[in-house]
Parts: sequence; C-alpha cells; structure tokens
Amino acid sequence: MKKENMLLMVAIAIAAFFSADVTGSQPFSPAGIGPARASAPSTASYVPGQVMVKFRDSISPVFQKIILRAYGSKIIRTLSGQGRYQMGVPAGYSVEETVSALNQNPLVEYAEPNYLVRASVTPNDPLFNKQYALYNAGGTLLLPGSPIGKQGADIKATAGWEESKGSAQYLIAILDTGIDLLHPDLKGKCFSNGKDFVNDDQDASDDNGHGTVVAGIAGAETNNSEGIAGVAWNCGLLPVKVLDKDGVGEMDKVYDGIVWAADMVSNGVKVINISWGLDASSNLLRDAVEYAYQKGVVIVAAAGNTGGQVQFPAAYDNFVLAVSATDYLDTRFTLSNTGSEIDVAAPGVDIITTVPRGYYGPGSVDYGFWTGTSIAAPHVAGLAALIVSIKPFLTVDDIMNIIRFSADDVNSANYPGKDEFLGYGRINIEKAIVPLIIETVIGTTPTAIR
Amino acid sequence: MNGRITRRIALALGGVTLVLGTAFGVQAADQVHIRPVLQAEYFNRLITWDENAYTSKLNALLFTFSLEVEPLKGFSANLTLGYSLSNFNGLVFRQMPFSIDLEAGYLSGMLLGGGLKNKFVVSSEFEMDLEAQFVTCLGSTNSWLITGLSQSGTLSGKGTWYRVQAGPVFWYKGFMYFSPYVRVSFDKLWGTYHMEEVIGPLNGLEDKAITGSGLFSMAVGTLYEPTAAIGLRGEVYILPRSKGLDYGAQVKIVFSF
Repeated sequence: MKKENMLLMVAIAIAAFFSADVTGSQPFSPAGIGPARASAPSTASYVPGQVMVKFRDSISPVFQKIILRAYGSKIIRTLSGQGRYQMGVPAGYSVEETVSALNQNPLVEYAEPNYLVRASVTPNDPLFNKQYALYNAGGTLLLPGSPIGKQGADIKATAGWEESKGSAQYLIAILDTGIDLLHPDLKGKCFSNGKDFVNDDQDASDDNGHGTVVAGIAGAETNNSEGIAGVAWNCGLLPVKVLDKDGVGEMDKVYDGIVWAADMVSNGVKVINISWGLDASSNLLRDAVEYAYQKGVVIVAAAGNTGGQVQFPAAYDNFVLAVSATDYLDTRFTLSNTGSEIDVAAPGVDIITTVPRGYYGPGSVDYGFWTGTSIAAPHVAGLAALIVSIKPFLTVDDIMNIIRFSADDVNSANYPGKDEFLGYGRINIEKAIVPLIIETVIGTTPTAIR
Repeated sequence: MNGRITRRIALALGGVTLVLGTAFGVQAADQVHIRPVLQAEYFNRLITWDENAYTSKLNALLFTFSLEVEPLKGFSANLTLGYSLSNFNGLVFRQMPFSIDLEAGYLSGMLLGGGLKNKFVVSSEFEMDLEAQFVTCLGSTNSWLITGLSQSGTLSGKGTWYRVQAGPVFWYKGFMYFSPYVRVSFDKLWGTYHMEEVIGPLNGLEDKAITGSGLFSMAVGTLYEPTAAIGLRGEVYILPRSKGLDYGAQVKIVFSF
C-alpha cells in the first residue's frame, strides 16, 4: 500500500475512533450518535460480551486490527472470508452500545451481536406447510382463499419442540364426540378405545367428526410422513365420548365423562380438552371440573363461538383455562366469545386438521379446514401436555399460569395487558418451555431476555 | 456424598504430607518464615450436572492473597483469601416453572482457602514438594429481572464451588535463578448453583449440583527468583478427562521474609 494511502487510512481510523468512542470517559449514548445501520433486537438472544464485525473489503487486515484495538476490543477470532472478526466488547460497554458505535464507523461494513441460533424442529408431515398455527412464515398461506399471513402469527411450535415434543407417559383426554380410532394420523396415538358415555360402552369411536377434528390438533401422530403434526407430538390421546352423533351431550354423561377422565390421572391423563360449552352455569358441570382440578388435571375449554359471553365450563375461572381464537394475522376471530374469564387465545381460523375417514364423502381426504374456539382450545391443551411432560412436578395452577404468562400480547396496541378478548394473548410454546436466557449487560440493570 | 469423599481424600493427603514431613526429619526452623503470596489464576473446566446428563463449562478467574507460614523447616501452611469471577454460562435450570439458561458471564465471589506443603530435598539438583490446597468460592447473590413475559419476575442466583488439589511437585534446582517444575495433582472440583425464581404467583427454586470432569491435573511451570526476597512463579496445567482436556494457568508473586 502506498504511504499516502496508509496515512489516509490511519487518519480515517483515528477519526472514526474519536467520532464513536466507546472507550472514552464520556457517557456513551448509542441513540445520540445518529442512525445505526444495525442494532440488537431486544427479542433476540446473543452471546454476552461479543460482537461480530465485517470491514469493508478495501481495508487491509492490518488496519482492521488497528481499528479494533482503537475501540479497546480484543479480537477473539478471525472468521473465514475477508475482514470478518469475532471481538470482545470493551470493558464497561454493552453489546448494543458497541454494535451501534461500530456501525458509525465508515470503514465498517456492518457490526452485529453474536446471535444465538436455535435449531427448529420441522416435522415431515406433508400437510405441515398448511399449519400456520404451528409455524407461520407469512406471505400467501396454503389455506382456502390463499390469504396473506403475518410472519410469526403462530404458537412457535417448531421452536418449542426443540425443548420438548412431549412424553408418551402423558395423555390428553378429548371429552367430545369420540375419535376416529382408525384414522391414519390418530390410531397410533390413542391410549385405548376410550369410553363411550353416550352408548355406555368401551368404544369411543367418533360418529360426528368434531372430536376427531379436535384430537388431531392436540396430538396427531407427528413426523410420520402422514397428514398433519399435532402440538403434543409424543403425548397420547384418550377418547371420551360424551357428545352424541349430533354433537349434543347430556349433563349426567358429561359429568361422568369428566370424572372418569380425571380418575385416569394415574394412567397419565393430565390434561382434559373441552371444545364445547353451554350458556348457563351448571352446578354439576362445575363440580366435575373442580373434581378434575383437585385431581391435578389441567382443563382447557373453548370460550364459544357466539360472539357473546364466555360459555361454561370455560367460564369457571378458578378451574379452567378459557381459550378464544385468533387467525393468521394474530387478530381475534370475530365470533370468539369475550369476557374477563378469557385466559389466552390460540389460532382457530382455517386450521387444517384430521376428520373421520370418509367424512367428506367416499374416497375423500381425511383432513379438512375448521374454524372456531373449539379448534383453538386443543392448541392450548397440547401446550399443557408439553409442559406436563417436562415438568410433571408442577401444580395445575402453575401450568395454567405458565401458559398465561408466556402468551404474546398480540392485541396490545389496543388492549395492553390482559383483556376480555384474548386474555393474556396468543399462546407461545417457545416462551413457555424453552429456557429463558439470563444475560448480564455490563453497566445496566441485569435483565433476563429471550 | 461425593463432596464428603473428596474432603476425606484431601484431609488424608494433608495428613500424609504432615506425617511424611515429620518422618523425613524436618526440624524446627531457626525462625518462622512468613511468605505473602499474590496469585492470579484462570481455568476452563467442563462441569457435569443433572446426574451427568448435561455438561457446560466453568471458566474462572481467581485473584488471591495467601499468607504462607513455615513453622518447621520445609513444612509450611497457608491461608488464602481472594476474589473470583466465575462464569457458569450454559447452566440450565429446568426444575422451576420457567426454565432458565444462565448466560450471565462472569459473576463475582469471594475465595477462601488454605493448604499444606512439605519439602523434601532429594539431591542438590532435585527437590520434591508434597502440596495440598483447598479453595472455596462463595459467589455473591446476583439478581435479574425477567422481562418479556406477561408477568414480570425476578431471579436470584448464587454459585458456590470447591476445589481440592493435592500431589507432588518435582523441582529441578540446577539453575541459578530459574527452577522449573512438574506437578501432578489429584484435582477435584464440585459445587452447587442455587437459583430462585419468582414470577407473580409462580415461584420455584433449584439447587443444581455441579461436578468438574477429570480428577487429575498435570502442570509444568517455573519459579524465577531474582533475589531471595521475591519469586515469580508461573505454570500452565491440563486436566485430562473423557473425550477432552481442560486447562488452566496461574502466576504467583512470592515474597519472602
């Protein structure tokens, strides 16, 4: 390099150093030094005390190192490819401050935190690409009407599965119209043929379809190259038929079904999904859900699809998680019932799921798109089963609170905090079960962020 | 249990050091020597936890001041006090309502310890020391805010670890100012990290037992003594373990009176 060029480079380096001094004694404010090209998103996690830097190609390696030293940074590693470094953050400064300062330097092409990436689990079920509820990449969705989805308007299932796919020891009881016990995506997941309280026998086959629809969302066999993925990938299902072929149930049968399922706790039933409801309170129904709660079973119930008040048993606030429905934009399903009893929301619009074989006619596919809070609830039941699988020592209240507190407040712009429409927000499996990352930012209040 | 066994081994080694010293005829010194020692050490060690199901690293920086007293010729004891920075990054707590991945970097703590040493003169050029050293790091309690959830919360955590090193040091004393040496030690590290979580009505705590991988370390080092009053000692050491190697280094300034 010519001598004049060298002098010029030194001058630029020194100028850059003084224009964005992270080692100086003056208080450093990243927000006060003009727009940064990149900054550390508060929701991403990264290696504490480290920054990745890429210099412009015209800068020689010698000067790159001089510049980094001028910032008081230690070079941890030189990456392959020209001008890329892993560097330590100067003492007394945060990653964000250092990134911001480096991005002011005209010799730096970019600087960013050393982000932590987490592998996501993508199952091989062929219809998974239609399950925006589990992973929504945004753009045109493969749903009826080809709507445009919002990236991230999902329950973060793929990230959550990295931590747990559930345990076969634990079962979700589907209190509904039964389950198609021979459905290719469900037959391997049913603990037994269940119990039919409508016909009083031991065969809880589905003669309506609703129960099969619900069961697939919560626990369809996953990564089996067939159909859809279930939220609780490895957990089992227990069919409990309390609704007849018309989707109607008598309260005495419902009571018996809930109590029977709760008594199966020793066989692994830790979650009950109830995707139905009634407008009036019933003491018998209340007694049944309280019994299950006392037995240590998490009860998840749909809020209802009338646009009115939350139905029962979802409205039994102390014992049941009440679930409303959202769509692929994280907006509320307009017919989703409302009230202070709403705990959380989950996707419930145009959700692809299992249907009984031949449901749409002879030779038809065994899957269909469904909408409603009945469809939202089993997403939450699946999450409850995932939590139970990795933390069986937790109480019912603990599990309910984890689901509530980990929810994303997706309507916070209009209704910050818990509200009567979406409760605490749309559930987030990743937040609920993946470990929170605790980082210390030097010189600031230590904070735990994901 | 593990800790109890280790403590017994350390006591036994210390006892052996003392007994051997007596048996080999150490005699009362003309005067009691006192040696203040300043030491800095770094180590990087694999730790296992959750009944060996998981591993992560413990990186530590230790800064200590020791007072070494030699009441008998060749036999000395020391008390150590110091400051430590321990990095438990990668430790994951899954026994609380919300699991926690500790990536908080270096956390401060206080060091306390002590040791025994006995010197044997093998020949005019070779000496051997038997050394036993115990140190405990009492981490300070750190608190973190939990944000990003619908309900804010707090975490508080505190790490404590213990280390016992005991074994022979072989010296070559054939040079005027430099004395190179080789050390082979039983080297055991164990401890716990206590974490508490409070998020609204949710609360939990977890005491995570950690164990350092490997039980023996091998070191090479040298002592530089430009005068009788001061010595500079530096060493690097490795700790072989299953499928890998841990390492550390230390420097000491020894003042003699």
